[in-house]
Amino acid sequence: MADKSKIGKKYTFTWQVEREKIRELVEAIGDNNPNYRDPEAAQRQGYKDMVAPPTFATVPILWTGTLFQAFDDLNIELSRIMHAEQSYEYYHEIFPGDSLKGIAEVKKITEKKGKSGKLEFIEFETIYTNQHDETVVKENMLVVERS
Amino acid sequence: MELVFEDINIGDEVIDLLKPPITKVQLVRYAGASGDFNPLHTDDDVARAAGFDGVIAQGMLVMGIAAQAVTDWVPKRALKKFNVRFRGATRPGDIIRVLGKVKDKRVEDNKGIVVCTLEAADQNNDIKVLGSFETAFPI
Repeated sequence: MADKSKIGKKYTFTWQVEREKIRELVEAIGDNNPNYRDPEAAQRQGYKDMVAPPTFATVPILWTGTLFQAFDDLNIELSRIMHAEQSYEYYHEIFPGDSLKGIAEVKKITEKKGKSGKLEFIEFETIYTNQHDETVVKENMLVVERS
Repeated sequence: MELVFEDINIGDEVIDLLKPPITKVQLVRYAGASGDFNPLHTDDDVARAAGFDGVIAQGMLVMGIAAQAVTDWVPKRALKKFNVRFRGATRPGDIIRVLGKVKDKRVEDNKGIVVCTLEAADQNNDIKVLGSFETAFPI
C-alpha cells in the first residue's frame, strides 16, 4: 500500500514543448483539429501559433518520468493501479517553444473498502508555469491502487 | 459560424463524436506520444496477469478523445475547466462515442460561462468516461 509518509512530497521538473510532440499526441488521439497542427490555421483563429490540446498538460509529468518516480517512492505497483479521475483548470495556452516548469505534489491518500478488498486513492496535483512566469494549467490526477 | 453565448441554451445537445474502433497500434502510438509506458496498455501478457483479457487503453487516450469532442465544439481558448471520472476499461475494437449537453449557463465577471456534461461510451453503451467542462465566452 502507498507510503503515507510521502504525502506533501513535491517533484519539480522542466519540459520544453516541441511542435512535433503536440502533433504526435493529436495524431495518436485521431484529433484532426487544425489548431493543434497547423500554425497558419491557428493564427487565423487568433492564436499566435498552433496550440497544445487540452490533455497535453499530462505529457510532461509522464515523459520526464516524474509520475513513475513518485509511484516508486510511494511503493505503488504499476500493475495494480488504475486512473480514477483527471481534471484541469486552464489559465493560459501552451505553445511550441514554451519552457514549462511543473511542480507535482502528492496531495492526499485515502482508503476505501471495495468489493474485492481495500482500495487506496492517491491524488497528485501539478501546477505548470511557463517562461513568462504565468501559471498555465493546474492538473489533478487521482489514481486507485487495488490491494 | 462563430459560436456565441446568446445562442447556447440549457439542454442543448452540443457534442456528438463517433470515433473509429480503438486499435492496438493506437495504444502503442499513444504510449509513445504521451510517455505513458505502463505495459498494461501495450503488453497482452502483463495485462492478462493483471486480470484483464488483454491490453486496455490509457484512460488519458479516452479523455483525449473526449477533449477532441469538446474542442470540435468550442475553441480551445474558451475551455477553462475539464474533469472526468474513468468508469470502465476501454479495449481494442471498442467504438467510442462522446455525447455532451449544456447543463448551465450564467454571466460572471463579464463573461458568459457555459457548463456542460459529457459521457464517452462504447458500442454496447458501456460508459468509459463521465465528465464535465466549463467554458467562458466573451459577451
